[in-house]
Amino acid sequence: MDARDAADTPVLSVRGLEKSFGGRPVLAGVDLDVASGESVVVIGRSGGGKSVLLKHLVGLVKPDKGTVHVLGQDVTAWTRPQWSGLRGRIGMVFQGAALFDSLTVGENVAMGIRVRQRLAPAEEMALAKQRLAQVGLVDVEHLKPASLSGGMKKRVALARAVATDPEVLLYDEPTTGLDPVMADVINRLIRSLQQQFGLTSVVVTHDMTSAYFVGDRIAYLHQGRVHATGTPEEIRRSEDPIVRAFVEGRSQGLAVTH
Amino acid sequence: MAEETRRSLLDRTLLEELPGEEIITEGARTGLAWVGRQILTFFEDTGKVGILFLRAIGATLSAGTYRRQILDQMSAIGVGSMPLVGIVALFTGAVAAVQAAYQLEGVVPLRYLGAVIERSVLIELGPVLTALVVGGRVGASIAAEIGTMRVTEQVDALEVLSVDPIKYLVMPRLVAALVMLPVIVVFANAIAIFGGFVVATFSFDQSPHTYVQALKQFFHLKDLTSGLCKSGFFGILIALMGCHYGLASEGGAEGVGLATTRAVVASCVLVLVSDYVLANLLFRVTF
Repeated sequence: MDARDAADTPVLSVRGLEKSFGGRPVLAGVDLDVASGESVVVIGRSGGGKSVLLKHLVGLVKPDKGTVHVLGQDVTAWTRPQWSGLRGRIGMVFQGAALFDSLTVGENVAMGIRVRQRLAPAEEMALAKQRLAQVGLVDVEHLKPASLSGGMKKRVALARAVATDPEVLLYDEPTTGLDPVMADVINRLIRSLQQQFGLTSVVVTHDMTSAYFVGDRIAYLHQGRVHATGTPEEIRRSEDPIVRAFVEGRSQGLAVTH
Repeated sequence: MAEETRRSLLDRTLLEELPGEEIITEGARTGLAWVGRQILTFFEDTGKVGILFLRAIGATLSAGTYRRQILDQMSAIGVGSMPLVGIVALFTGAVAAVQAAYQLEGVVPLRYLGAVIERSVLIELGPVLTALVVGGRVGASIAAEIGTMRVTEQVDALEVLSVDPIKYLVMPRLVAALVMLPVIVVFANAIAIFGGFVVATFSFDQSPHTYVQALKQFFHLKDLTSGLCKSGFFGILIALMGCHYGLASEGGAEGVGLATTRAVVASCVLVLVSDYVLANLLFRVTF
């Protein structure tokens, strides 16, 4: 495989992905490719399977049908030991931040570093502080997550996700539940991380402001399939009635089932 | 007459293919389905617990890496349970003294009171009552903590950071419970025997010497060791139930509440059932 082929191979590739929970199909044949360094935003209604799609990319959910390729490897039927090697190259920011509430902020950020690299505790903490500074947080490493605001928790989650220098970063609704100013801070952080480190990222959101701002490309997930993809500009100008209804936030013309 | 009706109904069913619904009522149908589901769930749960246990055993190879977690859990399960266990043990011993004195009256001389309390505490009351108390306290807190971590995606976050939740969460709790339950039981035994002593001396005017003499005369090491073996086993059961139901919880606060209840109920039932099995193994088969 020469360099050009390698560049053409998508970092993340999903083909015909199907998944049901309790007999209810959530994903019904999703096809999605993400190129190296690209930032793809997946938009869609709540409960439409966006988070489920994201979890397939890091092995938290196994597909019923279809294939998943991550960083050039077919991970469709991978088990936990196989994943442990690849997971250091993927970071994920969870919807509710998912900080370990029994640990301090510093220990949260250091958790991934501890598993990956053998460092002295002081070095670990120094690296964690550096990561926290990157997301604009100073002198918080001794606090417990419970004493942080929503925006700070999201930023700590971001620092924890990038602590191991991943190549791929997955975001599950990074701006949900934040005020518009904090949402903008997070959006700018996501953008700057992409540009600084050339990260490949997938952002799941239903916040259109965020989607237009952080996405190179937007994919609209509708009824378990990718209904439309395009640049933010193309999505904004889309004539498709279903896409229009979503981006303009109208309930008329859409079957509201969940 | 009734027999004829039944026969003709059977014939009609077989010959004329009368729809089954007319014989098996809707209620019976749902009832059967419910029973079937419960049986399936039981076997599914048993299988899952078995797999979880085997994986936790495998994870003990990493015990060195997670020693801080193990020590934290030992403190939470062991030291944290002591006040409650102490009160329960003190009154268990006291009640045992009162009841034994009542039952022995006219049959066995009261000077053997210490022996009766000692043997019943070491073999049965100490390990089982401690396990039930710890099962309620620790089983619930393990299930609630891991359940909350599950529904807030902290368990998923561990996975993504390449930290195996079995090594980080399950194994330390199992090891801590296995080690600490016997330790708590030793204290509980001592406190219970002391509770009996207080009642014997102050309520039955027995001399301390008589009580202690009976303790010494009827002490069998096997009573103590078999009780401690049982309590180690109970410790594993309690931690395993807490971890299993915690990891299996879903759907927010309600799911965590349900997991907590189930963990406590399952550990208490299993403690009592396995106590019977262990009693047979330890006192009828092995010795």
